[in-house]
Amino acid sequence: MKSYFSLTVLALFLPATMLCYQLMPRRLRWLVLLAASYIFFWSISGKLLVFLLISTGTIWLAGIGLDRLLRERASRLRAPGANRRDIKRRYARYMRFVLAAGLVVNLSMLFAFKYLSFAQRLLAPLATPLLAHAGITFPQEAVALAAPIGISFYTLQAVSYLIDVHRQSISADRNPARLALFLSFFPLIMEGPICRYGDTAQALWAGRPITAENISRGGMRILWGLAKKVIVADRVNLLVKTVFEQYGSYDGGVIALAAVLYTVQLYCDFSGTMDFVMGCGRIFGVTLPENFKQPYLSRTASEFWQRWHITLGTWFRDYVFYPLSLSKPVKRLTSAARKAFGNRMGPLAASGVALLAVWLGNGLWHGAGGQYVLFGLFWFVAIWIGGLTEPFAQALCERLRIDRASMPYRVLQHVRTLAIIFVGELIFRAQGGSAALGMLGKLLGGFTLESFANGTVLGLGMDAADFVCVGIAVAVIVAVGILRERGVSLTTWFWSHNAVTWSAAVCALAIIAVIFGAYGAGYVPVDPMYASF
Amino acid sequence: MRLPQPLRFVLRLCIAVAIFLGLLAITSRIVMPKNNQDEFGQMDSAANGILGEPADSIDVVFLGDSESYTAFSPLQLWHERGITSYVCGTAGQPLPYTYSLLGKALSKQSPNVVVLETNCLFRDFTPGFALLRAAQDAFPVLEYHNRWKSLRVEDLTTAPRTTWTHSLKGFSIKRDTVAADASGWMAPSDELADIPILNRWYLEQINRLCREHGATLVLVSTPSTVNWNTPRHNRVAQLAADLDIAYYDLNTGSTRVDIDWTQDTCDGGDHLNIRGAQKVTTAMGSILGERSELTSHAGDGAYVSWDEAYAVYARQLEQ
Repeated sequence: MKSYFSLTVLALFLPATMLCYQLMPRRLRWLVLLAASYIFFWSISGKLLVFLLISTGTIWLAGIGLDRLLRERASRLRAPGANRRDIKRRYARYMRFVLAAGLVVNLSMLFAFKYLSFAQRLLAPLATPLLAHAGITFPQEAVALAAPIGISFYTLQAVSYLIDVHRQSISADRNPARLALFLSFFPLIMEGPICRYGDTAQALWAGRPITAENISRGGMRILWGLAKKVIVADRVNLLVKTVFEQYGSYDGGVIALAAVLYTVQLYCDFSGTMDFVMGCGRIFGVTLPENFKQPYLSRTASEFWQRWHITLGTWFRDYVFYPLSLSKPVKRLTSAARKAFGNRMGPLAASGVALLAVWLGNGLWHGAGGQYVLFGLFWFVAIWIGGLTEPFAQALCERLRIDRASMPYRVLQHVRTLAIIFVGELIFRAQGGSAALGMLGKLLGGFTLESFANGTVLGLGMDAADFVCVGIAVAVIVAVGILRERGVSLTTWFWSHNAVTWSAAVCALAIIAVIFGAYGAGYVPVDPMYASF
Repeated sequence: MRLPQPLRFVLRLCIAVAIFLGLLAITSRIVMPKNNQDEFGQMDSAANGILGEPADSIDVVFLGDSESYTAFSPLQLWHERGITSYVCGTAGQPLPYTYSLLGKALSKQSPNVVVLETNCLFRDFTPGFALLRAAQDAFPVLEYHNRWKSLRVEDLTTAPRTTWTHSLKGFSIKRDTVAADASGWMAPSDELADIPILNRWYLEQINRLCREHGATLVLVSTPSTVNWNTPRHNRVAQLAADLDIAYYDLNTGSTRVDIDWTQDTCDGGDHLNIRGAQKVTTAMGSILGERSELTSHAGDGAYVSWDEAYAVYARQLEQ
């Protein structure tokens, strides 16, 4: 079961889980979800399940430990003659220790699985000669460990749970099995979204019955996601793969096309999977946070990241950006910057420190490689510079009497933002940091439309019919997105109409996916793209 | 009277399913290849060429993966034994596809013997793949959907026909020679290789389908240093005994074919070349010749086309 959209999941696993869930007494339904989640995990990662169990166990223990320390502290504070300041300081230290222990165990596992070989490659030139003096041989062969599925996602969820307990915004869960479900819920495990315990957990064990409306709406959403993935994402895969793997053979025009198509592929694949996740959650009565909000309608780089992979962005905001920004060193830096650059520019300049940490973290979260570091730095520069230059842009527009709310200006912003997005995704997809720079060099220095004129682009894995198909599909996706932006939900609209209208809509979508899907002979099955991060 | 919500939902679902199945049937009719040739979009045209053979003219059907269509030469078998046969082998053939092709072959032919090359018994596939294959058999649009790019007016107006057959009856001539390292091949062992439960189930279904159509299923392991070994032999021998199916292993024992691994393989022991195939086909002819279900059609005027086909084949071999 390597893809949510496989027949094994859609026709066997999901219906079986729904049936068992609905037949169970309400108070036991969450156990069905837990069992299904572990079966799903096992089917992909097998014995690596033990690492999910270690994460769950350590986070649960740390949460219980924090809870106990909080109650102890409260009890001691209530005692007559208590030295309140001393007690608070001591218990803050104990709690930080427990928090750190929980975080170190989990982040160490993430590091070992994702970053060990990267760190080894980075340190080898320095460590090899140094250790040789001590008679120690630094391992030259890269250590590559097969990672458990979803480790990047469930680790962030585990970290957020523990930090929220530490911050006392939630209470620790005394039931390890319920925490296990929160970390392993099968629709979330492969590609998120990254949920917060306080927002999601309760719904997971509420055991709400599966209703006709939820199946209909959830099912329609799953179908929409399937259509995006098989019609668009899997169709452009071959061209993207061909160009990115052999970029030296192609001119800047083809590289630009590949960058655009990769962005389309990534959006349709990832948001398509999110549609499955949301649809699945809906079926079981669990409202999950949206991860996409029509990101292609963004007008600035900053807005893009408020609409794309939203839960990752908010995670870094709440657990990296705010804590760093409110830390003493950064506060001191902000004061100094305020004095040097004024009240407006000073804080913006100082926030660059926290922002840099966020974007390096974001980049490295996606993978251990030079291109991910570059990716993070690219977005840091785009967003930070955007923030720093905004007052100047505003002043300039006022001076030139340019209406920033006018359609031409907004179109310009969209086009500019799309260009930034395409470049960012080119860096992201490139086969390493030097490949990313090489492709950018060809894009800027060797841009030509010759390959379009002589038909080369039609021999890279997509023919004319494929391009037309993708063009129409993207237009429909954008149109649906614009409707959603205006608060119109098509699933709600169809559900509110009679059975024939609803049935016709479902069937039309399904048959379009069957006919125009890029699957079967001539196509290579594409695993969910974000499952590898 | 307004129906209760659950019933209204069931009604919606039934209407949707009915419409969807209807659309699948209509689109299947449109995209299906209108003849069983590559030019019409037919997949695995060589294997599907059996549908172009005159009805009930094939005595033996060979099934399996690439081991089958590189090892069994139907035209040589015709020349040596007067037995008509066809190889419905395809690259990497998983058992659900074997079952599907057998079903198609049996819709037009009544073979006395069906030979299954055993390498595919060890090929993994998911339950999802098996479901998809069954769905593709019921609704060919799931297999031929990509023909939307090449649809013509005739696809809307013409019924599918099967008039074409492969000139070598599904066989593929491999002329290269790449020597194999046969050291350790078929070394004695008591181990039993694993066969997935689903694979065993499909073998039982294939056996049942053969019996329903009056055919005898026979298992054959063609020589291969890459794909075959003693644990696999042991497992298949046990399975064949359990299911009462005749089994001939051409790698070992009394039915062993004397393959020269420096000359008779085209890719280092994975597949046989034409020399190896000739030896295996002769051996197969001996095995089939001893089976009571089969009689020679040599000299029968109704099979003149086979003599003509063999003459073309012989000229190809001389090239």
